[in-house]
Amino acid sequence: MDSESLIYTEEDLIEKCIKGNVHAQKYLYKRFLPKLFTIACRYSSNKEDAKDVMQESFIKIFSSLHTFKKNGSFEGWLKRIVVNTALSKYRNNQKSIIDYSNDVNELDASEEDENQGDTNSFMQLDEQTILIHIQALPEEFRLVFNLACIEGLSHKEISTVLGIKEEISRIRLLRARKKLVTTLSLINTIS
Amino acid sequence: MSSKENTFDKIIKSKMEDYEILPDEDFWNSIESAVSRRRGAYRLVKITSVALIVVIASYFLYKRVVSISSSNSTKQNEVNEGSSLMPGSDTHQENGDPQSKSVLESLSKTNNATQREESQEYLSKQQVIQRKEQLDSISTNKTSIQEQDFKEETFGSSLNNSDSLKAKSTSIENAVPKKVVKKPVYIIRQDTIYKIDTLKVKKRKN
Repeated sequence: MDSESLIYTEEDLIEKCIKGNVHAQKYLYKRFLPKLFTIACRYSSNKEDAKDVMQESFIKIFSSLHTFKKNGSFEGWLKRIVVNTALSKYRNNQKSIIDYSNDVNELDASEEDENQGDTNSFMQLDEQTILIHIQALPEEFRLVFNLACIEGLSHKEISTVLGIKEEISRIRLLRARKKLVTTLSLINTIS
Repeated sequence: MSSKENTFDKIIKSKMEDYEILPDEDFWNSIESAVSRRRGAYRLVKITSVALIVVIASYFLYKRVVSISSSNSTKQNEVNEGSSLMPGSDTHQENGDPQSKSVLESLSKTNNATQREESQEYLSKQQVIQRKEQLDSISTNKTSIQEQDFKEETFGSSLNNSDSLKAKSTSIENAVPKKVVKKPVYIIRQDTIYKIDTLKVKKRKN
């Protein structure tokens, strides 16, 4: 029987995936892949890295489905797994920790000048362009930007997740935002 | 956070939340193979660990059974030590357990060796005693011969007559001083031979 012709409820889908039903697993993959893959792309520098993150994420999802507590959102649980996989990959690849604490004063002075131009004009930009520029950010900036701007985590939470100081998290976010605004303004001007 | 920053973050968030990307069509195949590989590895680890636990448990069980059986056989040997441990006894043949058999053999060997040593020691002690006794008897005979020679020399040929010899024998017995012969006494106690010289035996001449 084709997996696409079956319609599962969320509970049924989880039950069958736990039992190792391949059709159910494929159904889960097809249903949640677009959103999950976008998250993986935001946390990675290119599509190939995003695929690696996705593969590891799906292995984790299928092996730890029995730990899912049904009182929460299933989609939220899946997203958290993808984000955590991307973060653990970053931690594994992390070779040197760059300390930005010396640049605090410099950054504070230049903070007022960072948001040049009209931010509302960014609404005209397409999603793919924004994503490409997010991916182009240095890894440590990209992670903090994603966690702060899109996931909505505080600097305290980011410092705990990434194992850095709150101050460094704040600096990285400011720099990431500054970089993005600069490049997106430039593209906006050209177009 | 300034209002400009807030607006910028909101724009980015709204754009990214609604955005969906799809990977290649064959991406599912790679995920499926990775998942099945992981499942196979997990099963292998599970089976191996179970097998390992079974092997370890059976080894300890076997060890325990062997120790219990050997202790039982040792107790049995201790009970039957007097009779059943004699070499060539049928009880050795009846016992089918190889380990207990070897224990019995070693015990019987030890027992035989001890018995042999004891008997050799005993024989040597007996030989020493017999030799001593022989030497003593020789020396006694020698003394009696010397006494006889002395008597003959003293009383001469007049004693050839048997009647007169009989008559004078009492007087000779009275005249000849009584010879005191020391006979050593040996007492064997356990592994030691005690020689006692203080005991004296008076021997009269016939």
